[in-house]
Amino acid sequence: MIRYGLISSIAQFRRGRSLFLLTVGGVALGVASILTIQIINQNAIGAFQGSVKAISGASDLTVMAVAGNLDETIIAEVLAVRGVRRAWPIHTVEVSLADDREQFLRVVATDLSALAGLPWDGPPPRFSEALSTPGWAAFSPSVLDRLGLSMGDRLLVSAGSRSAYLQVGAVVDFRKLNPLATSRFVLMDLAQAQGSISPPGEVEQVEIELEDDRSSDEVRAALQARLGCGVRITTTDERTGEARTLLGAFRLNLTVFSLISIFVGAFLIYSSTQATLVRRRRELGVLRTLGATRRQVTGLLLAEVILLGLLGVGVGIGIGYLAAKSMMAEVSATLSNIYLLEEIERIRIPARHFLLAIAVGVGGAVMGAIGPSWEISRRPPRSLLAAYPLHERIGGAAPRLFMAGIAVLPITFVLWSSSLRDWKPGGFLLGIAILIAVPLITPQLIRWFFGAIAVRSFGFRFGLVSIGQTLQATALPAAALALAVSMLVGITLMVGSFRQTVAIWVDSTAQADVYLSGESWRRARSDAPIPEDLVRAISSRKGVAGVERFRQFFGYTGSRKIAVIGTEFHLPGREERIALWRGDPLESMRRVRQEGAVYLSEPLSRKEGLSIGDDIILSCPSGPVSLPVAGLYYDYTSEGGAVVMDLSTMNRLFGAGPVHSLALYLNPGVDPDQFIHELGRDFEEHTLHVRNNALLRKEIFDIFDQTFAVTGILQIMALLVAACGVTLSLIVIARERINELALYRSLGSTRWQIFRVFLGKGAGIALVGIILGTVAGLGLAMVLIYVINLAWFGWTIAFHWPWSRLLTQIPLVLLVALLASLYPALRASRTPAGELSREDV
Amino acid sequence: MVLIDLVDVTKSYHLPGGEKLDAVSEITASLSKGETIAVTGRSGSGKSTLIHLLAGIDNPSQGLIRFDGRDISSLRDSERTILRRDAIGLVFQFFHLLPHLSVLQNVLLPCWIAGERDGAGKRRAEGLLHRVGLRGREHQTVEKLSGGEMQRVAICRALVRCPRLLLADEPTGNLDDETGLLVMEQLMSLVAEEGSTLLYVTHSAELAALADRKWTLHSGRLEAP
Repeated sequence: MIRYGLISSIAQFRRGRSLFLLTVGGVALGVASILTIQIINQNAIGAFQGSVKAISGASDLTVMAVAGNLDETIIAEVLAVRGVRRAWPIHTVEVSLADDREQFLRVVATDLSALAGLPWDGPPPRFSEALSTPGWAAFSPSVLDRLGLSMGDRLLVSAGSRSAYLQVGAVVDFRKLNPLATSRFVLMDLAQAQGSISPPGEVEQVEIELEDDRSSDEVRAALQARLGCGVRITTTDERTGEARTLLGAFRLNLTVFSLISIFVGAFLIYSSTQATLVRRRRELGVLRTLGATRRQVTGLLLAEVILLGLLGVGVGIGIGYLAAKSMMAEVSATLSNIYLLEEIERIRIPARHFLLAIAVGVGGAVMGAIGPSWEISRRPPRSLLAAYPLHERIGGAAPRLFMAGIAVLPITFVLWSSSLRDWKPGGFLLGIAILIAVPLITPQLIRWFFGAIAVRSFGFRFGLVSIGQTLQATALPAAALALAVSMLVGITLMVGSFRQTVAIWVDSTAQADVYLSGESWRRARSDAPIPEDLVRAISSRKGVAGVERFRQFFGYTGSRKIAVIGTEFHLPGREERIALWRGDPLESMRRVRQEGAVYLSEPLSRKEGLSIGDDIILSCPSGPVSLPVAGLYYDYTSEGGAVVMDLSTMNRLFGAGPVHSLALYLNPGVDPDQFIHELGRDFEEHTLHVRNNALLRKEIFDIFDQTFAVTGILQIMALLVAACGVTLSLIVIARERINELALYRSLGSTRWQIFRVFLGKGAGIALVGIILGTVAGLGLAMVLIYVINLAWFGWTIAFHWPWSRLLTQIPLVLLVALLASLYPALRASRTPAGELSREDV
Repeated sequence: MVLIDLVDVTKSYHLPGGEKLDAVSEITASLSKGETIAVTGRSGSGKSTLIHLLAGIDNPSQGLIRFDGRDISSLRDSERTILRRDAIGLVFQFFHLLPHLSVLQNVLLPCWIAGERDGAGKRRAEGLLHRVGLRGREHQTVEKLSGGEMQRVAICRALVRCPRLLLADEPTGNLDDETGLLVMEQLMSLVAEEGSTLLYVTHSAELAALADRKWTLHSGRLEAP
């Protein structure tokens, strides 16, 4: 049987090259979409982990402040704790290049003399030179290469409003320590950095190496007791875990979207298996008549499918790698802009991803094939040898499938609303129910759509009607296309609604005329301060009606890392510029100003279950502080959550510190662009990023669009898989119904007529796919917006119809389906009348 | 008046080993309008090839076939298709009805292909079905019909566009003798009423005797009557 299987497989592949290519292509696209996302997800974490491990090196523990930075004198305290063998300070600062403020470097400032075994590229530098040369820094080979720098060259960078020259003194390659570490690391001595780009007397973290016989928990407890509650003591693995949690929702959503492609791909395999079975019905009948067991027949068919799956996996790994590489820039931008994590610079495919690809590709292929293979193996040999093909079966089951599909939706909804509403992944069940209902509903819907059309001519319209009469061949690609369209429409509606919601939110909150921050603020946040004298100078300029100052750093509530924002609420109309989700504008603002209460962002409120009247406990240098919640506000800047308080409250709790950005309100009649021009001229020596209201909005929407660029690739992949399905099913029809086509030809139909019949079939499939997919997509959008998004990200999104995008997408789907029909139509039209054989149609 | 003229018609096929096989060889014959001709011969004698050549499905390797004075062997495939659509009806041994169409739709199919409006074609299709005893069965699926009924539907389909030439390839080959004879009588009667020319292939001497003339093929050659 194995021998026969091999001979038969080779013959099948030879006979049906296009079928074979489409099937392999479908599996490959399905595998690629999953793999792309998994590679990106893995490398997002890998980049962070690699960088953390490269910096922290052999350290066992890391001490960090609960908010802001540590006083550098803490090192003495740390070294005094029993069990600490070595401790060294580290301060990392994101700096932007003066020549290109879109490019950032990450300066790692440390005590160079305390470090041994750094991954120097070339001879180790002399430390006396590193300490005595102003701006001495060690760069990675790839940065030097990218910026065209060589030893001794100087590079102007800025951190906040400060700027400084770095001089290339050595080459260090952290990728020797960890291949996924960022190449953006620039190493310099802490003392030098403190004099130029980092705050004097402060360090970000202290790395600790323990004595060999000391337990980590014991020393950790001793350190916490000695250093007090103003510090956190972590390990590198714990920090990677935090990043993983932070990215959890982002990663999960991408994974789920990518799964839709494999779902669509499974339909394609099902279709192709059906095609193979219809074509080989008689062969299988003969095998059964000759004594082949059902198991042997099923085994034969599944072995072929596994082979196809493996070929698809091979191609899919290649596509997945290339797609991940092409999406690296967009995802990196999201990681750095939204999550403030490390960018992905290198793509690595871990061994387990190869196994995942095999599992997905072969598993999906077997999943699609097992039903039809099992079913045909159970048929009596006589029926396999009989004339009529299988297509009537699905026709008979269509009403029952429809009822089942309709029933799935309310049953799942009732289940979810009664007991799974508070279970975070519960929302996905609603989405899955829609995705299951679509293929079940499709056959009956096709019957209704096309059963009522009267045929009056042979051509396009005949093709439309005939798809209802060949349901086994047409229902599956229509369902697969509907799934792809539902994903397209669902994501478009969700992203469009989100974009419009953000637009409205920006309109209500960003009303200042000019926004100002350090050039490195976008990445560096609290390491990009604006000195107080500069703030005063700008505030007192002619034409300035009012200034709102913002101070921001990261803090903790429990183990959750959140943005802590301080601002002023004294300007008139301020209560209108905070978009409240819950709370009275005037009363909440009074409490924030007078009682030291705070606003919580909506995501934080949802994730921590806090509302007005509750208290939030913030980790402050003096220990945990309980602050009353006065209001909850809409915030779309981060999903991690934010707490906003009056600047005076912030200074009281966390100590005074510089602000990081300003919003300027100009007097009526003052031209913002002219104002910005004069500001740039008068403060040339400061590296400030100043933009008007319109530019700020543009920056916001650039970041927004970049964040959702990934979903666009997934949408395209799902659509391509569905298009493969349309082509495949029409080729199947053209091949399996060759007698029928020959009959048309012998009855006098022209090639052009048959071509139009097939275009009609393609258009009919597209029409069902578009109509059903749009309705299902609307349902998916509702689930994404009102359930999944709220549960995982915590953002309220108001529903909006992005008409222009939808109206371009729908004709595009139709066009794709028609293009997918062209090749089968051409093939079918070439059927000679002489193909009519002496057997029944 | 001559409807079909075959002049020295040969159809050859090249076998995989390079050999040449003449399925039909040097046939010279003619059919007059309104005539009925039975073609007999052993299996493989070239009967079906001859039908295909007359229908314009195949082209002769040599010689020429004139249809109403027009050389169809020199026509392009699209022109032969139109000729077949407008002037020739075909009946097959295995009926070749479409299972997803109703009885009436199967008969109407040539009208749809020709782009005819339903009105006249439909009336004609219904009339033909009534004449072959299938009144009231128009909207049934063809799978529910008996073999004889299926062949009657196929005959109606072949005649629905009033072809000048009706070609039938063993129209009773898949039916029992009694049903076969009944179907053949109906076919002859309809052809006579329609004024068509009929050429049919049969193995049955009894059915061949119903025709005006008989052609016998032997190894692709037409035997002298």
